[in-house]
Amino acid sequence: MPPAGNIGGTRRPGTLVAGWKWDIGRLGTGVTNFLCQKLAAGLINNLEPSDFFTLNGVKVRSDLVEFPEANFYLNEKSNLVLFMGDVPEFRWFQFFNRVFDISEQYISIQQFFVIGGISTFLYHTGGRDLIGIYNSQEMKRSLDGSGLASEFDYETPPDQKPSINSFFLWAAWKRQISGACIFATVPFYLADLDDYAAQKSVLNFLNQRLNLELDLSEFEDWQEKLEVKIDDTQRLIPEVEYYLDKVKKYRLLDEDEQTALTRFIFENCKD
Amino acid sequence: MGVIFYQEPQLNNPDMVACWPGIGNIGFIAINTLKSQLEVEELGEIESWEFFYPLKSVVKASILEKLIFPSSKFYFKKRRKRDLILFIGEEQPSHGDSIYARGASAYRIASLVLEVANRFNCRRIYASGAAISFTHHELKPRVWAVTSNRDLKREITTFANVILMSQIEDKREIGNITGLNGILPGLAKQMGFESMCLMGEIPDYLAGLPFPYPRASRSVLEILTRILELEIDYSNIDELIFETDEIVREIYYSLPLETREKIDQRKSNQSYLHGSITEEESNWLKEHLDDLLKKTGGS
Repeated sequence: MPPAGNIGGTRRPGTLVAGWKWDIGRLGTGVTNFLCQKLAAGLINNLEPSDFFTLNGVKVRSDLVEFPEANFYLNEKSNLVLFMGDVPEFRWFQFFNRVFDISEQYISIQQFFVIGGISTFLYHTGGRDLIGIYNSQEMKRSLDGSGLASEFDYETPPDQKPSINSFFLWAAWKRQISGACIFATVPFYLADLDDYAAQKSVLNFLNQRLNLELDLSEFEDWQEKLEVKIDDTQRLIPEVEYYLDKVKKYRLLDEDEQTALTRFIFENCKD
Repeated sequence: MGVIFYQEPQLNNPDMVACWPGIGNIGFIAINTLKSQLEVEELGEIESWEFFYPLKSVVKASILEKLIFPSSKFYFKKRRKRDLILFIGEEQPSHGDSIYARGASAYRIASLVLEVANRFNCRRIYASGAAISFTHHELKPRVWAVTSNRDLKREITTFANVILMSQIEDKREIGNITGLNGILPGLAKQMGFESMCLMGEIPDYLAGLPFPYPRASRSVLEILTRILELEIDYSNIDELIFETDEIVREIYYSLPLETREKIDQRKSNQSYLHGSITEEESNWLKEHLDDLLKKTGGS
């Protein structure tokens, strides 16, 4: 049986959207899970992990075992393939190509978006910015006016490495697939939690770009609940109030303060 | 995916010398010294993205302009007798939990290097790495050799300061060379090349430190230049030796007196084994490594 998007042997032009598990603000899981659910995108394929993960044991998070995942979902109506997986540990380029190969069994990839979060000194009630990094002038031009901040100059600092999303975008360019990294700003202390406001920003962008006509109002409720939890934590723990006040006024905390605030918020606001 | 050639020179029965970083960067410094001294020309490079995570990204006006990967480059030098090809890999392809390549990536990159050797009719492949030894940092590092055949084995032992791995007291007939500096001569032998790995000695108590050990690189260079009949100037590597000797001395004097005494026995006892530091002492070193490096200003 041909893959669903491969009707009559001709693949329809479509979009690949990729995200990572346990991304900053849980952007990857939040966005792809919502899209899968609302678009009824079904699991269509997965990628064998043994070529890309050491598999010398299993990760345990909050007492739950986790096995590396790399799953593909398809929404036929929008010709949309969603990829959600763990970041590979090695053979990254081959991994990206496998993602493209598998996606192209279902659609002819016309555009590719990889989403991610950027940890910043943003206060949690502030608006989330979306930043676009493109692998071609055409893609940049086509996204002009879509609300993405798009005039960045950047070089990886000497003590850091490029993001996995930059590498993914570059691999797309090698295959002549037009693509963009869509980064949403996330308050650093929400990095390990669902940042619903950031997830909504990314979904807003995809909603418009792909004409998905999705109702995103649920995100406002979820964000409101998160903010109530943060307020409660502030009332309970004076240090948190002090740190958050500093972030709000000066957008600055030292490393120890950042660690402490992130820990307090995570422990008190996780689901 | 494979190798990109910048030019296709006619080379006369070249030898190939290859290296990747490893303990003390011993071979890496030796071969890089050759590269800088010989006025080599660039021959080509392995498409690195197949093996490595990028080191740097450059974004201009929000366009991803380029990713820079660890380089894996070939160089050549035309000479009166046999020509020379150098291969320098800036990193070993990692496998998630180790700095040494292994498995499919190691085999693939070593195969690509040897495909180039084959294309230019190389006769011999030389690799170089580290030999962790119960030696002393004030002793001249010896060069341990392993070869692909008995003739080469005989040939290499005619050079002073070279010792076969089997002659090391605790090694007997069995040894192991970790990573690509070992895999390459092994695969080269299987593909029908003559091959040799030259390993400069590094004292066991310095092997875990994150800085180079150019004394051993010099020993390797002395042998390689004689084999390949090359003349080089050692002043740059001697300068590097001078700098690292300072750090090594400071580390040595920060060791407990008992450990120092044990290490010092090695200077008068060429079998070395009697002066080996215990596992406990080795663990002590590892635990205090950060403090030692802070004191000495190492990184």
